[in-house]
Amino acid sequence: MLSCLMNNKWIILFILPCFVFANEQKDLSFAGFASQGISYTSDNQFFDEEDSTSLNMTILALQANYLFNDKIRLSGQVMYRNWGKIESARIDFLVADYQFINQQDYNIGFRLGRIKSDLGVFNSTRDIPSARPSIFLPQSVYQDTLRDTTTSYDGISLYGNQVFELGRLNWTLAYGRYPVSSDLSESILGKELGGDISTENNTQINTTWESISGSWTLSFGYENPQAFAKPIFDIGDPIAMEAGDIKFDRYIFSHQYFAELWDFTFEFIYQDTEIKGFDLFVPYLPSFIQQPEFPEVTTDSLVNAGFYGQWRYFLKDNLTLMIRYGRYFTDIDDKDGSLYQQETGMPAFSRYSFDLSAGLKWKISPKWQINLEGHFFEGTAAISPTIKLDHSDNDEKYWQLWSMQISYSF
Amino acid sequence: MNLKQCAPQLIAFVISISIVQQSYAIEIIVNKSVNLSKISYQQLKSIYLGQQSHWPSGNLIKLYKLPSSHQTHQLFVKKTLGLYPYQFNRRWQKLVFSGFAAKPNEAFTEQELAKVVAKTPGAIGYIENKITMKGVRYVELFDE
Repeated sequence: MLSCLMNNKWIILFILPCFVFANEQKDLSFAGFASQGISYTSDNQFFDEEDSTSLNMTILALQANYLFNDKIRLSGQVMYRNWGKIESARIDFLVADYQFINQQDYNIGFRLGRIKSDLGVFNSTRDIPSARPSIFLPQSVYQDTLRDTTTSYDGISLYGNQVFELGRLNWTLAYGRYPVSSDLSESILGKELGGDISTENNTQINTTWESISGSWTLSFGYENPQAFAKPIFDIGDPIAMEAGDIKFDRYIFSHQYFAELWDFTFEFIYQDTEIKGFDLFVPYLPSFIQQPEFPEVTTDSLVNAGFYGQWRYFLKDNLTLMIRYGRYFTDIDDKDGSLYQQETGMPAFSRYSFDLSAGLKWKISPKWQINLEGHFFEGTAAISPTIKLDHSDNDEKYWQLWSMQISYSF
Repeated sequence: MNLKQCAPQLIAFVISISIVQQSYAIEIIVNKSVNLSKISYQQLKSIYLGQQSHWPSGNLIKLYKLPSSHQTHQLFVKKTLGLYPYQFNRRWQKLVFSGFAAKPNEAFTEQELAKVVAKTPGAIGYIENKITMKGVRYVELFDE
């Protein structure tokens, strides 16, 4: 029964009408934002395929919060996102929230529906200009290529908080499935391979410990998303793949420290990736012609790892300076990619990326905000699909990304 | 110096400390329907950080705040909750835009805030100066 409940969009269809049957009280509130940006990429195809300068940076979101009754709160958000290569409109979250235990020292509740993933410090607000530190999140931990497997899931979560003498503990246990779009296919398989990606149920655990004064936090999160790919190919395609699946065991460790004029964030991701299947072949090749040899994709012990440290300084009440440095490795046992280059002939720098960034966030008014930032990259790992056969698009080891964004929120 | 001599100084010292501590006076107010005369700092924090949505009785908490730029709000966040205003703002941005909590209701002045708390069952708010108003109950804060 549980799996039937999990495995579909019924939850969403169930919650949606609840908004319509609104009670007479004025317990409905709205919020939202619109943002537009421009970015310049010196080399490589991180953002827009067509141009190095791109205006394809629009996000619109509208959300509603509604008290269904004294116990159940409903909230939902729709989001339109035109971000470089990807244009999408989706239900970002749609959730029924019921906090059923309320005591002086602890609270427990559950959520049902499409729930934002709260893994790491910035996951749940990765698209929200007013709640993220920069236009582009640190790619070493929040890779845009895998965003579908980490944004929001259809399922259920149990959450709570408890106050102890030395601090407070917030925790979440969740079970659900990440709805994925076709963009994930390209992110995992690359452009050369066609495939239909679907995901399986995923378990998520999140705990945050906050010091009693609130000046620092330590968090630990785990989840194990899984994606299956069904091949799609045609006569004349130069290359195709067998069905395959990818399993991630994702661990994120986060630390934040808050001072009056600055704050510091450190996060570390450890992602055990298991890839099965995906044998490559040339489709419809007559049997008397021998299949060419393709690189082996299958792996049962690929460990991706990344970290970043970020320092923000409040120059003024409305002006924040951000400096960040992060590193990401596709294979922790082959950090410089040399082994990979030897075995596959593909560039070593496609297996790591280092990112030095600096940015400014200027709150012109409570509703308007401008962001400016620059990123200096070495390596292309954070922007490469998981299974990548052709690196000719991303052939520059050193590259930069410059971006500006204006946003309005209410 | 014997004890007799330093006693007045000691008393003066203690008084000065308590004056420093009393130099701000944020009062926590709730609607009279909320059956509570005392609340712990940590529980108040749970409520104002969006982690507790209902009173222990099971009734809904209606959260009221003053605008972020209001001096009393900043005092409340810094002194009572022990957080920097930017921490408070960021928390709420995250809670609201990820659907984890409802946006707190806002009143523009302390007078107005006391008024809505007085007429909204389950409401909680804060003001700097005691206002005598029917329907409002003052809640004492205590350390656990």
